[in-house]
Amino acid sequence: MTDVHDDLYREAFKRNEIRANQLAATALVAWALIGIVWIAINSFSSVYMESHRVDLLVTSIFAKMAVAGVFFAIPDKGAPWIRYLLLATTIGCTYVLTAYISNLLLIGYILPVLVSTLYCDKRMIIVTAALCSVLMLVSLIVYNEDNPMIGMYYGMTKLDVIISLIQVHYVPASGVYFTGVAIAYFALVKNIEQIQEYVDIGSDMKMYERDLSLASEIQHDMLPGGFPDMENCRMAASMKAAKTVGGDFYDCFRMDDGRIVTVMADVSGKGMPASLFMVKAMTLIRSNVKSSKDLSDAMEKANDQLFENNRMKYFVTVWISAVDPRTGTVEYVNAGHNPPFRISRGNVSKVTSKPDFVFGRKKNMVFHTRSLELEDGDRMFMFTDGVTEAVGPDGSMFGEERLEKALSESETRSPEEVLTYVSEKMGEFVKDMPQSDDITMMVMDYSAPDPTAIRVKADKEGHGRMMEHLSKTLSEMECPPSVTSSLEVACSEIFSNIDMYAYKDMDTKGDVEFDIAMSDDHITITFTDWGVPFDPLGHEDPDPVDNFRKHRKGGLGIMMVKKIADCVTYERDGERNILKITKEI
Amino acid sequence: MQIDIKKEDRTVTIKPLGNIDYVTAPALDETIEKEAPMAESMVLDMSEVKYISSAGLRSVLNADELMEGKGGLRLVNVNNEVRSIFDMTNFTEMLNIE
Repeated sequence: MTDVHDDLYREAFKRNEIRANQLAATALVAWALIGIVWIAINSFSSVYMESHRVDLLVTSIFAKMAVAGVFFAIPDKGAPWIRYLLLATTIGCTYVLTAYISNLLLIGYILPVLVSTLYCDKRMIIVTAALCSVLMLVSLIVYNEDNPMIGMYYGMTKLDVIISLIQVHYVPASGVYFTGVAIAYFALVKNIEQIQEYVDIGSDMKMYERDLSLASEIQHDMLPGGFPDMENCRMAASMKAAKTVGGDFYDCFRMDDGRIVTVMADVSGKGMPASLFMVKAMTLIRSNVKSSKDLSDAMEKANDQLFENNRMKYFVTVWISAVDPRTGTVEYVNAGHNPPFRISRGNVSKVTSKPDFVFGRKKNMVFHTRSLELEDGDRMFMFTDGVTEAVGPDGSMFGEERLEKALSESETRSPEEVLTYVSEKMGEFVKDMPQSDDITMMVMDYSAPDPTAIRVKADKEGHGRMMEHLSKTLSEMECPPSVTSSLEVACSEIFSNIDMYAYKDMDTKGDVEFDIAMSDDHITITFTDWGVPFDPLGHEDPDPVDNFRKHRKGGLGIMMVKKIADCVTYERDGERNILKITKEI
Repeated sequence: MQIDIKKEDRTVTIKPLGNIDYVTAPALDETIEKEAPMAESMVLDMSEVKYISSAGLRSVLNADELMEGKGGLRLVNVNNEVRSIFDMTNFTEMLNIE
């Protein structure tokens, strides 16, 4: 914290130094110009000034111009010695003026004091004021030598003269002088305080900006980076916050029962407070829905939890859906949110339903679950009102019609491309207008699953379902019973391996995808899992039977699979293990 | 999985009513381990077993070892598929298969 503050402090005073030097140098130039004008006037008037005085005046004018010229020439105008040069010149010229040219200008000593206040340095002003007050007396005495204002009268000593000079001239002049010094000092102190205040504000703001951008990163990390891997559901999403941190969010996760949940939400408000509420809402929805069996029930619980400690009375509109990727059945709840669009066979339509009340605002609310059936090739487009309410230069909004048009035009594109296309169309519409609300969109493409493929959990129940699916499919394919039987053994072996080893280090069991394909003369069965990389073909056991009998070692199962299948291949593709077996029939 | 147990003289006949794989094998193991100490000889009736995987082989081997020195283990009503599994893994030589 302090180094931001100190940096700003130093910067502020450095800038002040340069500015002060410039002002002091300019003052010297102005003063020199006044001198030139005075000489010009003088030469045309009948007032006589002794030549030695004129010479001194000219010399001091030259000195001022020379010093100012030096200053404007050098590049580092903030160098520490400059202030002393400028101030010394000012003091020197004031002395020359008051000691040799006209003592009436005694109060002119206030000029160096004023110049010294520019430097925001208390010490400097005090030293200058003290020095000038002494010089004031000196120049008074010196001037009086040549131009007696108080002459020596019969019986007066030099000391008497000086004392009367002080009484008559110095005291009144210094009265005004010191008043000026006091005012200048006071102004200086106030100026310094003001600079400090600005520095404080500045460093607070810089820190706040830093915190805000960190919060934005954290919030960004919270949104799901990728989507659950599902062969027949493809998804893409994007969120663009209006300020550094936003109040919109989207979420996507798998429920324990295998369904895919999508969440699209919009928190009332923007900026930091809305984003904090958003984090809470997102976490509560996820934790309640993930392990639940009933969407309404989960949302009602989450609502009550969010309502607790919501003194600020924020709320969030939510559109949440649970999609069964095996059947295309979608159950959804609309808590006051703008309904999504569904693009089915070229038609763009809104998924309207009577909305429930917004989320998190009242206790004991009821949320109704509705459902729809997705068909092969359908697309869902979920979004927040930042999309439709984006304002263009003429004050009109992007609106649903333009959005429908964009969705219709991008029908054949991929989910990611749809997001880009809609963003582009919005950009064309709003032109240079600032973004007033968070813009969030999510696209989900559904394709009917392959009937010969199933996806199950890598556990005993999954094994049962897989075996059932296998025998059903093989009998539909009219596979000879001996082949069926040996394939059953092979598949059971492979599955048991995945159950026992693939997800061993993970908290929850993952899935196995099982696909059967038949061609004229052979059947190919593919196992896909998302567990640790494991190549079953990698470790050849030389005598699995013996090892099995003597040491109960594994490897027997793999040997059996290899003997049963005509061809076994393993491949690691990204996050997946893919094992294929082929058997000729 | 259901398992039929029949005891006659000091021979116990164990008949698993389903396939023996890694899911069902633990139940079979339990039954075998319970019956083996008191039996003089053991018979495994495989009439309801359509296939057997490596987990099942473990169970059979286990039973065979438990009955060693006593009357031994006999496998009856083994169908062709199960038999071919035994052939493949060389269990046919070791086991008493009728």
